[in-house]
Amino acid sequence: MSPLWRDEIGLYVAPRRIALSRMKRGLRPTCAAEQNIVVETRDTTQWEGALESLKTCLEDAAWRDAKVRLIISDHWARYAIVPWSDALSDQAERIQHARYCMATTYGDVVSQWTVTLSDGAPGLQQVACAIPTELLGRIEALCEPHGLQVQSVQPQLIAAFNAWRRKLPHGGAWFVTLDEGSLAAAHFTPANWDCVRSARIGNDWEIELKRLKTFGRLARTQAEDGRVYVDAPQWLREKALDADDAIVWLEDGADSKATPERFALLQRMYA
Amino acid sequence: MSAQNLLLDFKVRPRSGGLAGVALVVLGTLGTLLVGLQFHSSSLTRAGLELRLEALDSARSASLGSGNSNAAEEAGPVVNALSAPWSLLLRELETASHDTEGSVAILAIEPDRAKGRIRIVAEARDLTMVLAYVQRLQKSRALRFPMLDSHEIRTEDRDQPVRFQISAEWNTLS
Repeated sequence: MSPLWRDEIGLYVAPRRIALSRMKRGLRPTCAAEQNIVVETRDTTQWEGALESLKTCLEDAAWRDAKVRLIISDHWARYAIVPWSDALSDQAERIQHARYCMATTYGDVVSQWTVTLSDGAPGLQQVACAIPTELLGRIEALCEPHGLQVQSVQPQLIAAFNAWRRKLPHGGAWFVTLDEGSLAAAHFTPANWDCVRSARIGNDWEIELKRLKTFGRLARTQAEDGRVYVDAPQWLREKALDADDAIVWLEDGADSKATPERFALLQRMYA
Repeated sequence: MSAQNLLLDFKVRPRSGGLAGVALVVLGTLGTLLVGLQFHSSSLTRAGLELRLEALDSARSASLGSGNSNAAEEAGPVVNALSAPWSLLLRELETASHDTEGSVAILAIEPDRAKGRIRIVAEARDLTMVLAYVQRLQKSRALRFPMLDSHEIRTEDRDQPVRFQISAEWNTLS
């Protein structure tokens, strides 16, 4: 098969979930296979369980010889807003600067992370993201023997934002992505992102929902257009049935209820 | 209006244009080929027109050249005749006749431009005057080496003059 028309696999890796979706390329990409694996683990900081499940899953011939777009859960991603500096002359220096900015927030552990920056117009602040280097290396090492070439690695917040961006306003709003045990939020303007937060959250979703709604109301009072757009699993959306003007639950429509967890995100990347 | 895409990726993805990019490349290539073909066709047309122009130029100059040479051939004798130093010659002959006290009457002057010679037929009262006239002409600037070719006494005439003929080189350079 021509590399231009090689199938693509969307791979989502989270501490308690692995999701894969194989898209046949062509004029209209179609879904050829899907798999959703629940990982039994209590410690969401560790990736061993998820990688073991991924290794088992990749033994299936359905997941061979393709390009891979990898989405890493926000459990393992860290974000920061990096101010623009004219003193920095190239991308390597900007990455070093971003690493320094992240180290002031997260400490020495940054040295074990791979850091990257968003592309943007000169003069504007950029979004920096860090993911453990070991995790990236382990996933690539699992993929290679099966003819899988990792061509894209994005954290969940970025992938979800880009997947939903057509349903988001031009600027002046919050985007929140939720998953089991993690929350990441970004405030975006027409030009760029000016604030990004990530946090681990507890298992009591009633409390987390109340926090989220409070956050939405606070954001609403700070700015006229400060609505909160939330990307969340279907089961969590169903818990938040009571209407709240400050929060907009992002949905594709009636069909989205039938779509298993995170497949919608993987498929939306190709929409 | 929707939110702007945020470009952040741990892999530096080659910026592919997708199907639109491929279509654009194909269209660009086709366009380049068409322009190339058009240029080639125009070059051929231009080369053909230049050849025709050269042929027309050479034909026109050839016709002009042949016309000139014919005219020159036709006008040659006239031009030669007109360009001959007649004034000087006539003036010299008149002076010589005056120097000999009018005893020599010129009957004919026959130039031969092709050979650069001139023949003068004249009459004098006696042979002495003929010789004096020849000597006088030898000093002329218009004639070189004047020689007395023939003479005869006209006995049928009552005064019995001497008719003589002189030939000389006509010095047309003076």
